[in-house]
This record gives sequence, C-alpha cells and structure tokens, in this order.
Amino acid sequence: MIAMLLVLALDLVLRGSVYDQSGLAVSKALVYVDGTQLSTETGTSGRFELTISPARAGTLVVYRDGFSAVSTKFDPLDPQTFEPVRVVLTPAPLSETVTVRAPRAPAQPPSTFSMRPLDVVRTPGSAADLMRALQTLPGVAQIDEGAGLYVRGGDSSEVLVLLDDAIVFHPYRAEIPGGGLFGSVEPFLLAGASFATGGFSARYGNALSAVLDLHGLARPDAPQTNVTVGLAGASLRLARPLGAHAGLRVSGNRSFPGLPFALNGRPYEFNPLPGGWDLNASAHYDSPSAGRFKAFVNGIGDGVGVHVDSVSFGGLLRSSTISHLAALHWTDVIGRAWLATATVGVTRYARGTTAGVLSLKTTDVRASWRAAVERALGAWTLGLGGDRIDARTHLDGTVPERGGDLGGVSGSTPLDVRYGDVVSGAYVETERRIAAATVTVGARAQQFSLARETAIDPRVNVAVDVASHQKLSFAWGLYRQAPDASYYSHVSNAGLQAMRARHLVAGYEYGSEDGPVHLRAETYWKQYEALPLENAGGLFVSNGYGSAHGVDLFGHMKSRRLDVTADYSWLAAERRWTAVLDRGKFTMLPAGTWRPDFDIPHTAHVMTRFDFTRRLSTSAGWRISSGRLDTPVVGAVSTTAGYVPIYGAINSERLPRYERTDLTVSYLSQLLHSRAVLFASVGNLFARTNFFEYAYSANFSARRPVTSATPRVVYFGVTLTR
Amino acid sequence: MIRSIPVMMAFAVAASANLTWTDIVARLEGGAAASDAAVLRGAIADADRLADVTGLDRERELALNGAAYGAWRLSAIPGVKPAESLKALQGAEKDLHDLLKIDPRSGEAHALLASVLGQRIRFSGGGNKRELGPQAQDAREQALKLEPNNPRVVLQNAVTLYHTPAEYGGGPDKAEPGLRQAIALFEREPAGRPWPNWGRFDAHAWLGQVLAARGDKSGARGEYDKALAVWPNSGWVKNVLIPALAR
Repeated sequence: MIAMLLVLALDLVLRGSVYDQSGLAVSKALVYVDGTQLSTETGTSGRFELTISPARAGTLVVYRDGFSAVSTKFDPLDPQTFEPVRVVLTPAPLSETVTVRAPRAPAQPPSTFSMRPLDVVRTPGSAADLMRALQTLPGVAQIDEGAGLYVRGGDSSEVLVLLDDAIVFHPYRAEIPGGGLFGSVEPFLLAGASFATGGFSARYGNALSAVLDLHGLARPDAPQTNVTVGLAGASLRLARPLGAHAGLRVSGNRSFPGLPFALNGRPYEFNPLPGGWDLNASAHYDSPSAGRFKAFVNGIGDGVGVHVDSVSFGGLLRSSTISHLAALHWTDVIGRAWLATATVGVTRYARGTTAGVLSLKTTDVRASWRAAVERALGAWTLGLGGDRIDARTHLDGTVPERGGDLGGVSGSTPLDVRYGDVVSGAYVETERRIAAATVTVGARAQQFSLARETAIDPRVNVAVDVASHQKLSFAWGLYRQAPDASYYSHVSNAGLQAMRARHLVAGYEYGSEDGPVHLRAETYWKQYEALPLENAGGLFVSNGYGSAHGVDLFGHMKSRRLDVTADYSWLAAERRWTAVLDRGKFTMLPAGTWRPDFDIPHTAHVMTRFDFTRRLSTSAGWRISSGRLDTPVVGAVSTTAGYVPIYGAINSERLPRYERTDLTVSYLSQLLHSRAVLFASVGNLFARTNFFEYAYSANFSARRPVTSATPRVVYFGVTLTR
Repeated sequence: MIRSIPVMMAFAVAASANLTWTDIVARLEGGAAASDAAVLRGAIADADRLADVTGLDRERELALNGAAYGAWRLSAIPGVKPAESLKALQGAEKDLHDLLKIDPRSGEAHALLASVLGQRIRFSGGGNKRELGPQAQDAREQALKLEPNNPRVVLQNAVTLYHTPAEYGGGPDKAEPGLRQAIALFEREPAGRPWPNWGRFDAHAWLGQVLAARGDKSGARGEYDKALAVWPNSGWVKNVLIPALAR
C-alpha cells in the first residue's frame, strides 16, 4: 500500500489573509518563507497565496512596514497548514518617528511555552493528546499514565485551562483521580496553546500553579474537509466559509477501542471497553463594524469499566461522563486604540462512578464570563479586566468511610452535597520598557463568596535583555484558588479559605522558541497556605501549608532535518494537606509536612525528530523520572467486615523509576485525490514494566505491583485533507 | 557542427541554471557589495532575461526591479565608462517604467526611479536637470506618499537631499534626520527578508559622511564600521571614506 502511495512530488499552497488590529485588510504586506527568496504580496483584500514547490516545512513571515513582522510555522504534515492562515499585524514598537496608539503584544512572562497542534501530534508518546504532550515540558511531573498536569509541586487541580478565554472546567476525559486519561480539548480545534508554569500575569485568577491558555481556530477562509482513520477511532473535520464574513466549523471523533486491543492485547480487564465520542461546532462572524464573534459548542461522552486492584478491593470500576460546553467570544478594537475582548461560557457536566461501596454521581453546572481591554498609552501598555465564575455542583451517592477503602471494610458514608460558589475578579496591569528591561506590574482583586474572602494579589514580571538573544527574567506574585467542591462534603461551620500560593521565579533564556537554538534555565520557590487539611474530627479545615522549589532546564536545537528537545526538572515538594480522596485514610497525621503524591524529584525528556526526506519523518522520545511515592501498608487489623489496613508513614516509599521510549513515523503522500499523512507509532517500544501502585492480598500480608499486561502499544492510521 | 551541439547544450543548461531569481539575487548582492562590475553585468542581463521569460507576475516585477537596481549600482562603480553607465541607467529607467505599468503603487520602484534619474542628472553634469529634475522629484514624492515607512524609500530621499545644494533646501545636515529614520526603519524590518533587502550599508555609509562633514570623525568612523559590518569588502568605505577622515 505504501508503494502505491509513492506518487509525484506535491506542491504546498499556503493561503491566508492579513488584517490590522481593527480588522481592516492590509494590502501590499510582504509574505515570504524565511531564509528564501520565495515571496508574494497581499492584494487589496489582504489575501495571499504562496506556492512552495516541492512541499516542505518552514516558517512563513508576514511583514508590512509600520507593523511588526509575524511568523508562523508550517509543515505539509500538519493538516492545519492547509487551513487559510489569518494574520493580524500589530503596529511596530515605538521609535523616534512612529507614534503607536494601539496596544503592543504583551511581553511573554517567564515559564511560558507555546505549543501548536502539530507539536502535539509529533510528540512521541502523546497519542496526539494535548495534555500528554504538555507533560513533556520542564516543570511538569507525570505521576502515572494519565494526562494530569502536575506543575512545579502543585496538584493537577491547580491548573487553569481557558479556551478562547472561556474556562474549561473539566479539561480531562475518562476522568480518574488526579486528572484523566486524556485531555478534553482536541488539538486540531486549536490554533495554538500557551502554557505558563509559574509567575503568570494578573490577567488570570483562581489558579495556584499554572495557566493553559488555548486559542481556538478562527473563521475559515476556504472550505476544507479532513478525515482521520486510525486503529482506535475516526474523526471528521469540516470547515466552510459562509459569504465574505462568516464561517462554520464542525468536527467529531468516535473511538473504536476493540481494534487496538485486538492487535495489542488488553492491558487491563475492561467491561465495557473504554470508548467515547465528541462533537464540536463553531460559528464565526467577522463584522466590519462590530468586531469578530465566535460561538463554540461541544459535547463529550465517554465510558469505561476497568478492573482495579485497590487496597481492599478487586473488581470493576465503572465510570461514565457526559459534558456540554457553550461559549461566545467577541473581540474588537474600539476607537482604534482599545483592544477589547469578552467571553461568556457555560458548562454542564455529569459523571457517574461506581466501584465497590463507592457510588457517586456528580452533576456540575458552571458559568463564567471574562472581559478585558488593553491599549498603549505612550510608552506604557495598560490592561484592565474582570471575570466571574458561578459554580453549582451536586454530589450524590455513597463514599468509603476511609479514603481508598473501596471494599468498604471500614464502612461507607452517604453523601449529598450541594455546592455553590461565586468567584469574582478584576485586574489592572501595566507594562513598560525601561532601557533594556520590560517591567510588568499588575494586581488582581478577587472575591470568594463561599470563603467570604476578598483579597488583592500583586504580581510583578521583569525581563532584562542582557545581551543579544539573551534574557534574564524574574517573576513574583500571590495567587489564590477556591478549594474543590468535593471538600465541602465535610467542613466545619468555619468553612474553608481560598488556598494561597506565592511564586518567585528567576530565569535565564538564550534564543527564542522559533530560533535554531533555544535554551532556558529557571529556578523557582513556591509557598502554599490555607490548604485543606483533615482535622481530628474528620472535617476539612484550612490549616494546611507547603512549599516547592526546584530547577527546570530546557534546550531545543533544530536544523533543516533534525530537531532535538531535551529537558530536565528537579523538584523538592512538601506539604501538610489532605487530598480530597484521602479523607479518613490516615488515622493520625504526623507533625509537620510530608511529600505529596506529586513530588517527583527528577524528570527528564529527550525528544528528537528526523526528516529522512521531505515526506518521511520519524520522531523518538525517551522519558525517565523518579518513581511515584507510595504509602505502604505495614499491617492489618482483622474486623468482622474484613481486614483494615494499617498504613506506614505517608508517602514514605518510592516506587521504581518510570521510563519509556516511544517512536512515531509519518509519511506524506496523496491518496484519493487528497493529501494524506500516514502515521504509525509504537508506545513504550521496549515494553518496560512501569507501575504506580501495589495491590494487596485480602489480609495485606502480600502485595504485587499493578502492571499492564501489554506495555507495548502499536498504533497506525491515516489523515486525509482536501 | 555535430561536435558543437553538446557544447551548446551545456551552455543552455548552464544559462538556464543561472536564471533563477534566487541566484540572480545572490549575484546582485555580491556584485554590489564587492563593486564587481562583471558580476553585476551578468546579473543585470539575467534579471532582464528572467523578466522576459517568466510567466509569473511577481517574479517579473522582482526581476525588473533587480535589473534596475543592478544598473544603478553598476553606474556608480569606479572604472565603469560613462557611456556604459548612461546606457545602464537608461535601461534601468525603462525597466522601472515597465514595472510601474504592472504595479503603479510600488513605492520601491518610484524611489529607485528617482535615484536613477538623479544619477543621470549627475552624469550629464546637470545638463538635463530641467528635464529630469521634475520627473525625479515627482517619483520621489510618489514613493514617499505610497510607502512612507519603507526604509529604502526614506533612505533614497535622504541621499537626494544630501546631494541637493543648500540653496535649494538640501545639504548633509538636512539629510541626517532622514538617514537616521531610515536606520530606525531598517532595524524594524526583518533582516532576512527576501529581496529587495538592500540599503543598510548605504544608510550607515551616508550617515557617516554627514557626521564627517560636520567634524564628528569618531561618529563617522562608527557609522563606517557599521557599514563594513554589512559589506566587509566595500572598497568605497575602506579606501575612500575612512582614509578621508584622516585628512
């Protein structure tokens, strides 16, 4: 079949439109492929078309005098490359001769990485999942085979996820404690993502550790159909322009889990097999006078039954989820100076989980809005904004009396919690360039209704250009976040305070993300206060605290054919807190702090991509990290209901190191009169046995690692675009 | 005859191999940087040929502009005979008029046309100033109107001011703001942009002369050094402008 696909060389046609910030078409903008003489200019409608023959990857640059150049990568292997690109030019920075009235692009804070959909797909071992790809960035720890983002000693619940400014309250699908098996946002719905792992701006609130800011695709300029068929599922994406100012995008995914398990074997006992679907649609309207509008809706459903070997339980854990998200996003430049954005979003989410005595139904309706304006004022850039979250959660069912005791040896507790919380925020932020330094100072006021707490959190970012292509950066800030709704099942009358964190980040950077060499070194200190902690009465109080500090190193080098990324993170974290699922697990808490589950001291990744030809590319990834912490069972007490475990010191044992190697191969060709990308991957190439927990015998006298029966996973498929 | 066929074929292949825009740009830039008349002559001829044979509008525009630019540079190289310079400038003028028929809104073309006309006036010793002067002035004004933030447009306007006698509102001091503005605009322009991408050398070299004219020798030397950073083998800067500072 591959031989049949060895067809003639293909041309790559890049199309797009160029606008200024007010939405007006920019004519005579120079559009070129960086490092070549291949160029064109936009016409009076701002549109361009550039043919690259033969097709190859590169960087497209758009430049018009008076504006800053904008560059974007393209790759014939990336289906998004065939989407018309929409480029918005911003006025060039200040000079003696030019007066800038519109806002400049904000300075990138430290600890921020960008990722495109193609980066996600090309990350070996990511299974084309955004969250799994983000796990390979420095500062992000992986504590199991799930997709949870544990950032710089923080829990996965401490990451704020935004899609076009609307909060994605449930960023994971196939949810398990600590995240989920995959992210809930499909990467090819995105134009890009920005991930800040610390010291983030006052624009973002109700998050302790990190911000994942996702930018959805813009209005389609040309029709496009994209079909992907893989071993485990199929997806369809359609884009259709509607007249000169409107457009529609529709996409859907459906998984077929039977085939990959038939090929690879079943890693665990499933009933039913894990499966899911999602359906997404967005409508776009670019009004010449009223700005740009985008309405987005999606629905996601998944279900799985998996055999689990827990401390006191061996049986099926069944889980099913259905969620819907609707969001409306607007952006415009008002008075040719104020860049304004506004977003409103609503999420409805329902999940049912059963395992042993655990039977829990979670229903969640959450709404959020966000509005912001930004403008340049002389040498300053000023940003103002406000946001609000209205959360309504209902938890209903029974849970183990002791955390982790799914067998119910210590009994179970009925649960019926209705939680309603409103978090409101407003921020102001200014930025200015002073000699070689760019200083950003901001403050965020936040009100937490359930905690009856109002506070103002200052944040500062300083970036200093110390030499050509070299930068030092510093960030400091205070951050708050409302505790998870589940904590409110057991709280005293005093309630819970908003959790608090203080970040201090210092970094050095050489080069840039688009450059041939990019190096980063950062060190950070984080302190936590008001974390939920279970008291002697079994209720949660805000007496917990903790800290994390560490070093993140990152290097990226690329040449025409070879792309290598390597990173290493060192982390030391300690906390005195209680994870919500650990309530009742430990009869007596020790004094002081202990290491949390997500204390992974050493994490390293090496990712390489080599283009054998312009059509055949291969990627390999190697990841290694310290093993996960575990609290051993050191004894058991016999009761009429069974054996009750006696735990040793919390997280006093570390499991063997985690290590895996992944390989991906892709081939660009033509099939059925469409551009075709054939891909194949092998996950955990050397079938290393990694494990993250132990299963115990009924009387806890023996234990065994819970391992996958099929550690190596083979996958292949094809994507067609026309 | 039969023996000559392979030679002719080889020549044709070699000729067509050189007829790519990328190669022509490399020779235009290399020839201008080294003041190499032979390289420029070949590049101009190939640019004109490419303009004739290419079926792509964009490539034809670039080729016409490139041929005119090469001719303008050639005309200023020491040792090139005045007759050849004049002929080259006339060819450049024709190329630029052809280009402006395709794209009347090209500020680059209007600005280069003004420079070519100015050069023709200088070659004639001012004899055709009445005829060409207003044309050059119109082209310059049109260029500034169309692309006021194009560094090459601003640069060429400033260099014209430099050459304009003080009694007509010109002179080195009047050229300085424009040259500094051009340098600022060059700093904003992507250094690796495709052709036309010339002018950084000229901006620093001419600003150096402005500074030298008012006695700021260290400032002038600094600008000459910046010019040499762009074109390290410029004989004009190394053998003429820098030695002049010592006098």
